[in-house]
Amino acid sequence: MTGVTFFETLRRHWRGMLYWGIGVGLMGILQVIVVPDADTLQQYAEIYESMPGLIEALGGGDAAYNATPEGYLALQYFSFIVVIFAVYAVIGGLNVTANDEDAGITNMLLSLPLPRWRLLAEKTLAYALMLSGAIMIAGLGLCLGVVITPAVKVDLWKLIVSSFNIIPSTLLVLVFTVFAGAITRRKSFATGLAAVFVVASYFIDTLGRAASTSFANTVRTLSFFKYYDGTAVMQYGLAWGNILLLVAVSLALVGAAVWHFQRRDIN
Amino acid sequence: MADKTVVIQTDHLSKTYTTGRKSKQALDNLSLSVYEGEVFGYLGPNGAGKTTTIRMLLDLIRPTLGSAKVLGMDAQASSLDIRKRIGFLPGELNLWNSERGLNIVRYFGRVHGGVNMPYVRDLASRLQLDLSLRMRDYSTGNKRKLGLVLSLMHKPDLLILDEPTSGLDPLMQQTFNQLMLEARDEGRTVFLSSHLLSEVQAICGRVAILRNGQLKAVESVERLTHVDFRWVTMQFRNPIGVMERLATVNGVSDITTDQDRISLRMAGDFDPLLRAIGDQYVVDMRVKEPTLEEIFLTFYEDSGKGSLVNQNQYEHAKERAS
Repeated sequence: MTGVTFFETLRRHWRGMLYWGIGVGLMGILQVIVVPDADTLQQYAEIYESMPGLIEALGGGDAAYNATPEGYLALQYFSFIVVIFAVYAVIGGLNVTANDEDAGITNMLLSLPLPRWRLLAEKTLAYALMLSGAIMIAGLGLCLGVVITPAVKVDLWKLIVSSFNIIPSTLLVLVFTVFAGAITRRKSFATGLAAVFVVASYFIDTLGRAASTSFANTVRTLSFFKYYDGTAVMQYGLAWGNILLLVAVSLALVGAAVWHFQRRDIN
Repeated sequence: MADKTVVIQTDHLSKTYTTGRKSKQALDNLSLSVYEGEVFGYLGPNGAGKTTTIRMLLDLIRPTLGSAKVLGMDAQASSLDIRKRIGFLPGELNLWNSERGLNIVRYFGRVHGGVNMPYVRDLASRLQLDLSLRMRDYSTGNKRKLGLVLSLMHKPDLLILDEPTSGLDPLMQQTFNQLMLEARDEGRTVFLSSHLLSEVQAICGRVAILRNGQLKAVESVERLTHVDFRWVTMQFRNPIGVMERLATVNGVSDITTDQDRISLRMAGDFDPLLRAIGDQYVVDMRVKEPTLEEIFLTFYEDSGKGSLVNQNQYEHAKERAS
């Protein structure tokens, strides 16, 4: 039956989405409340400028912009929050097949009239929706922080757009984890692969931004963080090319995961 | 059986598991037919290949060689159509620990296209299962009962049950037997695996015996239970010299003595045994039919004694018989 597993996954895990969204949203509110005054922001910017390239690269590198409340939030919230939601994406991705297979539940599920591709696709879709929901709930928390802190002047629309920008990158992490679970049959291996994917992407991006060599920049194109760039989105708006690329790679990974899952033995 | 519809048919079905350089033949050239409306026992010790067979019938794993047909359809190509018409109980039921039994029933029911709640409640009542509990709160036996409800609730044409009675108390085993016989009477087919032959003896029409991935025998339970040997225990007032005479009788083997009692395995007619007893005073004489375990282990003996574990089982079975 179409959609049964999708709605069952939502029913079983929507609270997790809520907790993650509210938890990260509260962090956002705190970030807004502690936005320093203009002088302190300027001092932060100067400190950043004096730092080595590698450290400066962590924050996006535009010192003048970082000295604004928007820049501060882009640096302190959006640059890091994607990593936190990547963790949620890995957890969700493991829940699609790896956890159930490891626990011996998949045997029972696939004895039902439920095609393998549908099981994987519907659960992936449900987790993608919950991931997006958690991100947008957290974004609303950030907006709430701005509303209750009149001293901080930030365009709420930019916060919404920047929150939306987190979705494609974390979706890729989710789908990569699904793919890892679909090909490996072992939860521990899938978890390891997903963790390596996130951590390696982060370091490749950071090193690529800090280094001036063309090689480092070329390697950086392999990192999904390059296509995320939370600071730039806050400043210049959504980069639709990057979003489309991330979504396209995600869809290709879903296809590859389904292909593998259809053909292999179930543990 | 020739005029009956074949529900499960395997043709040289084989499975080899490969891990790195190691490979293990879990099932070797299994050719088997199970017919509509029968309760078929699939017997063998742990590791014999029973679960591997079931997993291939369900298309959870793919055969290395050979093929299987279930309900007249190819187990791989028509897996989805097959799964609409079967109920499955795995050897160990694992489901989401935080979920209540009723929620799991509803989800499985929806995947099947609808759930017949009055029938589910009837099954739960007969099995004395509380569906309001969470999975983590169920005992092993209750998990088994939930698995039975999940496999029976859509009244499938074919039930595939892996060790269905393990963890069930004797009373529930009776209820289980009753449910299986009802399914059979409704023309449905039951394929159940077990390593405890006594559990399937009461309900199975035929059994297959599997060992080390190879099919050793397919027989009707009735015929198996009429194999030509019995366990005989006699108590004598004065057994001196009897043992030596009995040992020479054709068909007598496995003689043991315990004070004034002599136990033996007797094959063939009784007359030579009675003549050998002669004028000795017999206080008591008991004859016991071999259990399916013993018949099962006899198959093992015939194929080369088997492992030490099987030898122990054999000795244990003899002890129980005496």
